[in-house]
Amino acid sequence: MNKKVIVIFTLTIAALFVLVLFSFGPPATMRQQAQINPASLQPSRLKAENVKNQKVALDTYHNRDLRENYYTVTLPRDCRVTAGRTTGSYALSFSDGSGSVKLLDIPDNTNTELFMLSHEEAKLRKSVSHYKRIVYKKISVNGNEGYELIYDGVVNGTPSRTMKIYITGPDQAGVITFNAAQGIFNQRQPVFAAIINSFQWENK
Amino acid sequence: MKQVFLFISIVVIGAGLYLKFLYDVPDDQEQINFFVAWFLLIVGVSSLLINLCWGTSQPRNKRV
Repeated sequence: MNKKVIVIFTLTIAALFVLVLFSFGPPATMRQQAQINPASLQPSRLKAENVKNQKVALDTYHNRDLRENYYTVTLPRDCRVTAGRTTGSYALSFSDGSGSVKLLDIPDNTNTELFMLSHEEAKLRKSVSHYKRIVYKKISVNGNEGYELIYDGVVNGTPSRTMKIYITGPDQAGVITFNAAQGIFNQRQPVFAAIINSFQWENK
Repeated sequence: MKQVFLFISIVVIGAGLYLKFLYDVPDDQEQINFFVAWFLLIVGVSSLLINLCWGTSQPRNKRV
């Protein structure tokens, strides 16, 4: 057999081996971690604001993880904010509930509403036991098109209510999620509304 | 036969380039898309090179 062919074949096998390591080995994990900008978790302090006659201390977070999707969101100081699992996301933990703020990639061949109804809600129907849609409506969040979905379900044996807001952005969509027990949800709603209304795309 | 092999190599490279630069990858599939795109490019380019080298090494039939 031709020597050149043997050399090319050997180099190909070696390149594929390196590719597997690079794609799924330790370098892949390091690349993902490097995308999370530490500045995204440093809040700028805001003074306390009145939310439905309740004084709520608020912090503003400027997310700097993905250049095309920089956003600002204001979160109550009494909730614990940590980096979420994906780039550009926050995990929120309240005394009586949980939530998240994250980015969602919307494919070019669809739009936020269609993607949400056909893909996201379909996933929820499969993953949430006793899923029941309560509210679905189009809203506006600081001039951006948004979609509000509220549903009931059973999480860890407890009936809970979840609100998801999908906000159309320049590249990806912003998704704000709040989850609380059904009895507590309505009490918390003014704070949830304050967080939702604070969401702003910085590049728009 | 050589032309068929050459055509397949070009198609494989084209598919790799499409996945690398044109395909809108969903968030949770970026890693697998990266792998598949580069896999196709490496295999396509190397098969193209093998195809080109193979022909040059074979002695031509001498006509009597």
